[in-house]
Amino acid sequence: MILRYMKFAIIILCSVILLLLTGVLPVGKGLEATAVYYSPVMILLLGLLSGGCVLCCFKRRPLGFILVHLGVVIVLVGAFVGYVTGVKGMLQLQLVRPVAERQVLNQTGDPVRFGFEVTAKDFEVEFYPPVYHLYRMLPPEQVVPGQMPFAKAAEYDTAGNDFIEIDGIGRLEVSNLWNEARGEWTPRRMLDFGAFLHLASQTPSHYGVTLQIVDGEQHVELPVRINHPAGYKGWRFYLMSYDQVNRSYVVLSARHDPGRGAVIAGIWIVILGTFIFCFRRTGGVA
Amino acid sequence: MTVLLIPLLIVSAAAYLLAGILFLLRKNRVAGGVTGLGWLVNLAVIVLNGLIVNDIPLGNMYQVQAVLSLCFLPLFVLFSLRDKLSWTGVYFAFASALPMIGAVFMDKQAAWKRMPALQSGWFVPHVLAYMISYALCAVAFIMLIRFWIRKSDTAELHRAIYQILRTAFPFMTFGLLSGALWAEEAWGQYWSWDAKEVWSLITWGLYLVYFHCRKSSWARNADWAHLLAFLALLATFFLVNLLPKLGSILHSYA
Repeated sequence: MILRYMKFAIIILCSVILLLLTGVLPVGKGLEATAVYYSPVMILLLGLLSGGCVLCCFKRRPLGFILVHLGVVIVLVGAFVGYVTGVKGMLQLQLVRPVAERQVLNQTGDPVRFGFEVTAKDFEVEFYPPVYHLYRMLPPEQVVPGQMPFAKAAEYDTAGNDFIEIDGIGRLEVSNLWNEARGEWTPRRMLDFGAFLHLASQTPSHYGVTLQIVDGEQHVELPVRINHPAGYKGWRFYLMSYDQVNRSYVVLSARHDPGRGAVIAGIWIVILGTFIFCFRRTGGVA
Repeated sequence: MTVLLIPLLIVSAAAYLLAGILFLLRKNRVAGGVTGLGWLVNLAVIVLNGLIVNDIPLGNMYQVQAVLSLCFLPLFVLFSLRDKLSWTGVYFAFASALPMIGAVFMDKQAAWKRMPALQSGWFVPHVLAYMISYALCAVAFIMLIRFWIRKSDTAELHRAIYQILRTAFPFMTFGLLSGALWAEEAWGQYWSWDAKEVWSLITWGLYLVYFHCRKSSWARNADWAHLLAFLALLATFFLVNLLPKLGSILHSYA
């Protein structure tokens, strides 16, 4: 009986793998990957896999075995609940003249109300120490009419460096590139012989914003950063990006997923079960 | 500091290779010492990488491969003590050398600025769990190749392969699922069907097929499942980054 279940599991797993491959392999003109992953065949196979795992939960087997299969069932059930009843959408919140948002457009473009108002304030972004590009004047014979008479000659990363050594010009203290009065890195620093250092695009290390929730008489402030979403009344807000030019808005993903708790619990049960099952003592017998 | 990297990488790779040869010649004590030396030099490379980038040195393929090589020796010690598999030293030694040899020829890009999404407590456990599982899967695969070349010690080799993969699998599971938990925390979705994610799921599924095959009447097909699983692992680790058509957007940094 056990052997028959194993064969059933192998057939289902191989079918799922083949479907995944059709989505990910760049064959022919390439199939629309998500069409494969969310196809009725895939859902049917996952349903069968789930059914097989349910049957395994009722076998007299080691604890780890039961936990792994139970965890898979919980994950799939939670994901299915989220797929059917969950709401997800993108939200652009203004920072300069904040406007309260009361709804989000779901995947089909229909508005779904939060039941409260959301605005954003106090946006903050931190950058890594910048990279500067060195430009040098071109000799007159190399200057092409209509083009700039200089060319990029080198790149200097200021991170972790007290100074940068520039060929033919000398040593420059990194602190001299920081404009204390304006609280920012100097965009352009002129050097000898017509050369200059130009501030390259800066890489953000952190950014975050505070969400202001107005729910009737209640006012709540929730900080949101990358990897640190905020939750309120079943909704979760994830900071996705921001206006890198004017810092006038932030983009958030808003999600209401009744299956989230089950998926997370299921994932932890699978992890725990796998460790218990695979690390159990077998007395050296494979 | 960067000038020291290539000599250290070469010394470490050479020590691992020499250890492998010594294990083959059954000079196990000397081989163990040489492996230890290679490991210490390997550790020095990682410390140096950390000092250069001023962060956790897991920013590109070169740095990740140096960490991968470091995983083999502690795992070998674990298997020697726990499962009496000290005779597998030769496989662990040669497997340690491969990522280091690759690292010698790779771009040793120094600067690494961790993007905000990577500033997470999940980063190190997620990558390390994968490195441990990949290291073990590499050893098991070399043993499978050895079995196919010379069909001797069949039962002992299969027992060892199974023991090693049984230890690798929970780490691979943790790597896969911690990635899902992390993605949920960062972007609000567990799974984005990114090329690297799908290949890692295929790899995990094929190892699962291997375990199920072993317990079924299709046990003789388990080796084929093992072979396919390791090929999928290579696709996940290398091809997705190297071939633009298989390119991964969310994992472009790894």
